[in-house]
Amino acid sequence: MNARRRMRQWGNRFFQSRRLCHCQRGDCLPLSEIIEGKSGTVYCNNDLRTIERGIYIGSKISIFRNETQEPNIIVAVGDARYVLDRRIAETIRVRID
Amino acid sequence: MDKVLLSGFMGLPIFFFVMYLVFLIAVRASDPVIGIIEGGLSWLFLEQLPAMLDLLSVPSWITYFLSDAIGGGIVTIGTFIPPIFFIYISLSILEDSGYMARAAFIADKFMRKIGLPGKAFIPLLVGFGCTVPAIMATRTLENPRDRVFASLLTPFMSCGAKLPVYTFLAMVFFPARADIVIFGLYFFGVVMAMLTGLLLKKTIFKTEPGNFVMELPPYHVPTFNGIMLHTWFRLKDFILRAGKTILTVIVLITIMQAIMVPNVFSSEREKVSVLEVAGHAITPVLRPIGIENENWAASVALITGLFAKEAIVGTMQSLYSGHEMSMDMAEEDELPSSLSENLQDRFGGWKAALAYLLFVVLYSPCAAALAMLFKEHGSRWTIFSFVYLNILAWIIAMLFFQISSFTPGSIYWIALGLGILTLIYFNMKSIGRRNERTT
Repeated sequence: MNARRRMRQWGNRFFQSRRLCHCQRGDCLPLSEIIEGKSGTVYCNNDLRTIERGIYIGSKISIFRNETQEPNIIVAVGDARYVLDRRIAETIRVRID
Repeated sequence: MDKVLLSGFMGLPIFFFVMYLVFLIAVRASDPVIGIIEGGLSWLFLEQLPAMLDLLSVPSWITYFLSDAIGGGIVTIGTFIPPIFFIYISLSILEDSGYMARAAFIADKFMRKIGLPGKAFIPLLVGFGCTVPAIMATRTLENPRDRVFASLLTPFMSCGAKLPVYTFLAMVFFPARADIVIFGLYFFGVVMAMLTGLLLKKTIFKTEPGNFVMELPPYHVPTFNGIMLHTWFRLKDFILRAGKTILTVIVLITIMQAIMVPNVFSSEREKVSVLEVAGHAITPVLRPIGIENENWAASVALITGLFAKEAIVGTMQSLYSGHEMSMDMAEEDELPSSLSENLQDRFGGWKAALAYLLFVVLYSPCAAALAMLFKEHGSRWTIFSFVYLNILAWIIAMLFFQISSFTPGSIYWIALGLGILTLIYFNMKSIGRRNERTT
């Protein structure tokens, strides 16, 4: 039982380390910190729901609305516009064009 | 366009204006249509059908059953259709134009404050149509906490079935300002949902709401075919599902009205209908909200409303215009000539009527909605919702009536109401603590 738990913890650690974003300092920013009107390329994103909607690594994204006091931001990917939770936006790293 | 519609300054006023417009259209546009449908169906089922059955020498009880019970039920259902049709048309236009998703985004700002994600706005908005699909729509929320939380708030959104009740009583007691009263009642439900949300957030659901990800569809002009198809499917569903319940309830009420039993609440033991006995039994509980003993029909309407909210109007129409209500009045030689006069006479003024409407806004959802709540979240949350809503409805209606018609005795009722509210708060806190310990 303990061996199985140790294996699972090792596996979790292994996959989590794979999901870490190896972004150079100053090279990219969290999506939530990009100001309105700017656009960029998604550098890291591990959130499955946003990947399914087209916000995958390499996709062009532009910020349509980002007000710090609001809990959400609005982004445009291709022709589609999405409302994203700020907490999710903080986990997505974007390189500004 | 989004710059204006989603702006922090203009977004919220535009949102409320659009919602007000929806209800204005529903009330004003449906009013003449209701008259035409009611007149046509009454002529067919309440005048021509009994005349035809008399010609065929059909026994009087069959005539009563077919004409008064079933025919009367169809007339009542017919009067519900226009307002619900116009509400569904308005919601379809908002959906097809792409504004509905923007409304969810605008709502997210204040939804967060009550502890729900913005996506929960859509089930709550569906709740304006019917509570049953609204509870089903909470399945779109990923977090189980959000699902239960949103389901508990859906009954506060006045469903389409409550609209005929509001329209009916508002037209009688506030004919000049019926639309404002109706919109006010809808708005009051939303405010109570927000207050309950705050209470639940502080007590039972202390954790953060789930994440919000939603697509904003592009704006486009809705097509006539698209709107009509959406409206037709929703209206057909309402007529088939709710119509069956309403008709059954109205037939049952008409039969119960005809069955006479000795009155256990009177020393004279005169024969009265079964409904009157049931109404008399619960009327003392409703006396603090302005329902006096002779207005037992209002209590009966609340009981039938538990089966389907639409049945409240049906019950009132059959009881306030029937011979049963006028029995006592015959002694006073003041037989009211119309249903509206009878209602005004029994309620005794607008304060009791408005307190009654506030009770209808908040009290337990119908049996179908309770069954859906049980199916989705189990018996614990169903019992919680039923008990909480009924107690809250009684307290709010009582506080309104006692404050608006203040007497020295009102102080005791107000103190009792506030005491019960405090008790509810501490009880919820203990539930929250227990939940924290188990998780």
